[in-house]
Amino acid sequence: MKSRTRLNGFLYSSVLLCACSLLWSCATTSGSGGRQYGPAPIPEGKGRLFLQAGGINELNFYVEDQVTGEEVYTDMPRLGASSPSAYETGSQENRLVTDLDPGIYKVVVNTDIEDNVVVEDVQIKMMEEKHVQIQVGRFQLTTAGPGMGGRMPFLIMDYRMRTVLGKAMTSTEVRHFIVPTGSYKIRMENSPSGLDEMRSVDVSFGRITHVRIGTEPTQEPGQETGQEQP
Amino acid sequence: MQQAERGKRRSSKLLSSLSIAALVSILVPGAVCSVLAKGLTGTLIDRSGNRHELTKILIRGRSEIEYYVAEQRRLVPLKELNSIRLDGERGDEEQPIRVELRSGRVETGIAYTGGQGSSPHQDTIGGALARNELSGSTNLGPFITPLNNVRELIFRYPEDSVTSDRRLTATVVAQEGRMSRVRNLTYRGKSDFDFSQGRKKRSLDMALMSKMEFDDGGSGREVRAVAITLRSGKQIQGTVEASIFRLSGETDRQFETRIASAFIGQTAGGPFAIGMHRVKLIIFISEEEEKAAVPDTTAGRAQ
Repeated sequence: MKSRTRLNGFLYSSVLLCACSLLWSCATTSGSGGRQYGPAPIPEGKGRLFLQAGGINELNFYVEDQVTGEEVYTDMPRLGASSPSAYETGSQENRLVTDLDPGIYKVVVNTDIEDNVVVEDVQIKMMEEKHVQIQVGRFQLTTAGPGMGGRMPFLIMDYRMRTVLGKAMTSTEVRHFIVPTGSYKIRMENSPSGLDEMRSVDVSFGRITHVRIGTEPTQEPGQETGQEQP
Repeated sequence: MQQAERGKRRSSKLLSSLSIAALVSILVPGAVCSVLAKGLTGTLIDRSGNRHELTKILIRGRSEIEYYVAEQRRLVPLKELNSIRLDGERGDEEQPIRVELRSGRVETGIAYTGGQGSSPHQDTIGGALARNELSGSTNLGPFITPLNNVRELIFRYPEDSVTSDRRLTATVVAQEGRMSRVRNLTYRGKSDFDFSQGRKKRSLDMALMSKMEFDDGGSGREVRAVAITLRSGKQIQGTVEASIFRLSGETDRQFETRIASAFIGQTAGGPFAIGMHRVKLIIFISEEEEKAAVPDTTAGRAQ
């Protein structure tokens, strides 16, 4: 009789322990809709590819198997450079990571101009991380002055101004244009405001080049400048 | 007794074949890894005559070189090149360049090397400065030199590696039905054709294609659909920009090049150029077909 009571007690306590541990595990791990802190473990039999783009969180890119040419991963979150509705949000997640089967891959990054950045011979090993540097940079163009709207079209050209590499549009919001690192020229011609500006833009990895195009407000005769004369 | 000996022999054979297989499985990936890790290798000769044996060669951090032939921009992967030679003075912003491709083709033009070092534009903040330099690795460690210090760069490749740089011959049919046989066909100066699939921009080597067919959109449409048939039989669909409108800020030369010279090459009678809005069909001719074909007399500029 005593032994049966002991057995019952043991069973009850083990069931209670199981329930507690289940409750604890539910409380400590995130659910399907929850956010995890830190990178998730690499899935079984796969390797992880990280694109290092110097602080850029999202790029339009795809990954091809270099042997078969088959496309294995695509991510195209960014709108075109000439889209009037594109801007940088303040809550970007880093999307430049993907888990792939072991193999040799080609990574193609689409930029805001016609030149792509292609990285070949990217070898993914099982259960290992591979960090690949993508030689792209960002520039931001802001306009100010009378007759200059928030959305102004402009052209991105090569440094020698022989080829138009892309067309783009400024925004009233913060907006970055992603191009391969190097030297470029931009040209903004706007007939209504009589503006025709050409600027050199050096784009380097990991930095944002700020370019400002603006017309100084014309000062009416006799208008106060706001500065006190001694 | 004999059976036992046979069994021993079999087991020894099996063991030896297994050991060979194990050795191969260890060595082959190792060799692949070492080739991948080395990247592009070659010899750099600087303007003082010093020679440097380099691996992982990159120009401006990229595996491509930009130069201009007859004022047309070329962006060529370094793996397609045999050698590069830069002439001119060290301080020049632009220098004459001689590029020898692996196919044997030689191109001469101009390359932007940045001169003595450019400074950021006065309206530029944030300290961005494009680095015009060549980088690589030596036995002693990382190697970086300004591009204007480079005299010659000679690449080395494994004996079994092949180049994709080939001279393409194709029959180009214009919208109005005119047919031209074009040699050395390139798309905006390169052997890759660029097209879009939604937001995705893709490039495909034209040497892999057998046919490119454009829709009957007619002139005036900004975008045209294209159906590409590969030599493998696979079909790829996409779109290309075919706008004939002038962009605000575009120079006459840029406009003319963009509109009228999407595909360029040579016919028997002279240079050939056709705009994206005018082309209807391109049929690529393989080397075997080209050898067997009768010489064509069609000539002229389809634009």
